[in-house]
Amino acid sequence: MVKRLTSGPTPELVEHVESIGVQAFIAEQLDPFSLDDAETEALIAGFATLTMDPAELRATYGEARRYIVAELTTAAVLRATYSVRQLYEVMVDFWTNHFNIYLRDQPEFYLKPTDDRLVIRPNAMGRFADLLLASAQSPAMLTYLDNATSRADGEHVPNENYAREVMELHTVGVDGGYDEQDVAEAAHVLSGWSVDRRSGQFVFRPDRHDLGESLSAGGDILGWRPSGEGMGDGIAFLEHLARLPQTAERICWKLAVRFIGDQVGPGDDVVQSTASVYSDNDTAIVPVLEHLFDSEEFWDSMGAKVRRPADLVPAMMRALQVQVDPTQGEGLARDVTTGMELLGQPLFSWSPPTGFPDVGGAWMNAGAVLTRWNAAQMISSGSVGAITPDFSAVIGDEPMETVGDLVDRFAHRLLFEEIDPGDRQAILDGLGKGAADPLRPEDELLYPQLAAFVLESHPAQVR
Amino acid sequence: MTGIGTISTTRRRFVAGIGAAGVLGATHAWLPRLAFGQDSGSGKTLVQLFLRGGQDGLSVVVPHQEDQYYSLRPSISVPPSAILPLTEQFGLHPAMPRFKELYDAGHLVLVPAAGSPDPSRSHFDAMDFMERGTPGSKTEPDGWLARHLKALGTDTNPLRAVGIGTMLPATLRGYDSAIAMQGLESFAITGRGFDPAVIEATLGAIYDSSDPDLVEYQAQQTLATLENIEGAGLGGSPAPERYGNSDAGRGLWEVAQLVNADVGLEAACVDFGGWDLHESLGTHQAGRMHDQVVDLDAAVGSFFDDIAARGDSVTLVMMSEFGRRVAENASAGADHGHGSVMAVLGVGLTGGVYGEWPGLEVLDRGDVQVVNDYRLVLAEVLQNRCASADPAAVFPGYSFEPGDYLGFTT
Repeated sequence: MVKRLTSGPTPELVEHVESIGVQAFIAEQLDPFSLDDAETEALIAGFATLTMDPAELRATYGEARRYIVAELTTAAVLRATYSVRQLYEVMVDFWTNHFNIYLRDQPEFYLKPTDDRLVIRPNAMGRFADLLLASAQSPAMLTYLDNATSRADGEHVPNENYAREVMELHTVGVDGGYDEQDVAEAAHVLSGWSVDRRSGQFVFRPDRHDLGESLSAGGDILGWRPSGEGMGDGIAFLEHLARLPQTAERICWKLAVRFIGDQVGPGDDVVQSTASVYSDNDTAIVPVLEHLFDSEEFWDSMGAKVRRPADLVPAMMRALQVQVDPTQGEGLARDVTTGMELLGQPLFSWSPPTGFPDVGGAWMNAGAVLTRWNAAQMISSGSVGAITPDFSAVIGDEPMETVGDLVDRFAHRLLFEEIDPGDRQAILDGLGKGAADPLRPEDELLYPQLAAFVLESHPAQVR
Repeated sequence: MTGIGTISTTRRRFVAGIGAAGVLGATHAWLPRLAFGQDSGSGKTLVQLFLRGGQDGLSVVVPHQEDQYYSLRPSISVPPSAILPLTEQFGLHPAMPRFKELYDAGHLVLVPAAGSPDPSRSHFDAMDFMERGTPGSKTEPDGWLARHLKALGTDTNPLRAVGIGTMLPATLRGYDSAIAMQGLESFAITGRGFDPAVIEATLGAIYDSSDPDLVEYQAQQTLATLENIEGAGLGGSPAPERYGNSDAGRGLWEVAQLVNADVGLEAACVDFGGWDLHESLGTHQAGRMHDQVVDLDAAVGSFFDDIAARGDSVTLVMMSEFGRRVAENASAGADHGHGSVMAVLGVGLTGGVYGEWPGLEVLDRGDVQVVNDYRLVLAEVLQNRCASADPAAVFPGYSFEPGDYLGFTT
């Protein structure tokens, strides 16, 4: 359960869950802002780009896309690793992908830190309708999906990109019941939702807005009709989309794929029952999660999800109780960003609006597995400059007598499950040791490779 | 072979493999294949060189008879006196002597005004459509090359399909046995103070299930790949200087090594970016476009040298998501356009300039029209060079007859 709701268990967390009970832990995680996370925020306080507004970023960093992406990436990884609001960070990642924005170029990379700070993070466990509305007014989103330059005045045909994706990807889904005509009309409804180029702030431009002939003549989109209120029509349209049953089903299905398994289908009972909770609670996300975590399907599915690189890296860092030095911010950002690139999940750099895939097949190929193993080798051996494992914390205080005990201790404290006897023997053979060999002080030298073997094994690849 | 550990792992997994095959039969797709060579593959290799960013076809295959080309590009055109002549209408960029030589020898097919019919000028949309093989539609989940490989057979040889890079290109998406690798040299266990051969042997003992799930299967594929690479003596080495210093050179070098090692490679994807020249494209003698084509020429020419002895079993196709605006912009560059140039290279082709040429008098929103569908070029390659029985199935929604083919494979 802890593996599913968090970036991975640590001895401290497991002890906490055992002391307050599983239900109390879930309740705690569902109320993230009741938890004090000042320590994590202090770790990333040095990342200046995170709190700058677009104009400041442009003035300070010019074309330095890489710098901004590196700080966003590293903040995401460090928060996933260290935050006490573990579930909240999982949800931030979920919505970052649901409302994916590719930072291919400027101005997107000046605009995304604001989207992260003011759209995704404040709404990640609020109401979906609020999140959707905030995203629709996000300069980064409007630029990425071309709505910022869309105009419907005069002879102009509005750009359909955002209007299409807001239905296809953000809400009702491709089979949500709309047609090409509806897309064209939605583009009219949202025409004029734009970005002030100088400040990088959202602006509604009435002079570029036009409802178009069909809607003006009484037509509808998925049962919604405008009342000729300019921007108010767009708000009402998005509020309508957020509450449609197709949206409820689609959002709950994606959440079920995230928290239960790749095989869950939109028609499954657990999705349907969660969708009713979504609708009964006016799109509030917390009751939806509460219901999912209460389902049999959730409890029956442990270990069935492949960890994406974005899950794997924080999980390894947590398992190894890695300490990072916040004064080494720049080197750390470089190492983390390069690592995510090599592992094939460069955060904020997925070009299609779909977001990174959340199914195992997308992340497992022979090259990807090798990179995962090598990442475990690198991180366990302390070869990543700003990231150092803390093996004494991994081992803990309980006494050990044999090398077998040592292997068991690592397996238990890195994986939090019983090690497969075949894996245990393979690791002992790999270390050139027997299970009954007495533990000697120089066996400390085995720690990095022992940790690497454990983190390369099957249980470490899944959650 | 790097050590005792590796050999024993190979034997043990080989025996386990036979056991599993006996129990599960040939339908069990999750079984790594250990044999070297092309005993069950098609024996054909298709290499896709994708020029990412939108290559300006007009700078590569220059329509030097078109007045519009020179009037709309006062500072970035290739003058008629500088081109390497191909036909009456077209000439090559002067920095591409290897292309010229391959063209003269009849190995190189050039198709101007080629591309995807979808009108998108967005990089990601245009690439996405092109790689799916279904312009205008995103309902097909797989890439076109993945569909081709699946149709060709269920062989799970881990070196059957390779994408050079950290993630698989969308062209191979949906083919489970495809590998993303940066290169043979880096396709190795990182020991960091520990013997990689022992790590490999240990992982072989950890991932030894005869009834593998996804993770187990891909782990076994990884180990089998490491063994195949070692078994074929492919330690890997950096690309020789003659390939040039570019992603195209590095990538094609890796592919040439795999082709020549007989590891059963049937599909390879190499990406070469840097073509998005909105500003300062440069002249035919110096600048960014010049440097790009110098790299391209060296990479493709050297690749051909290294695979020529394989005869007609190897085919390289070169394409880009779109070409560029005919008129240069105020920054002496060219914005996103439409039609570009496709190239096909291989022994046994009938080289030449193929396809219709719509001229530059009538443009598509200021861009070269796409009159030669890239799918028709690929379909001809698949059917006549890559053992495809039904190329139409690779491109759903596209109707064509073999009679429509441009005819460069005959």
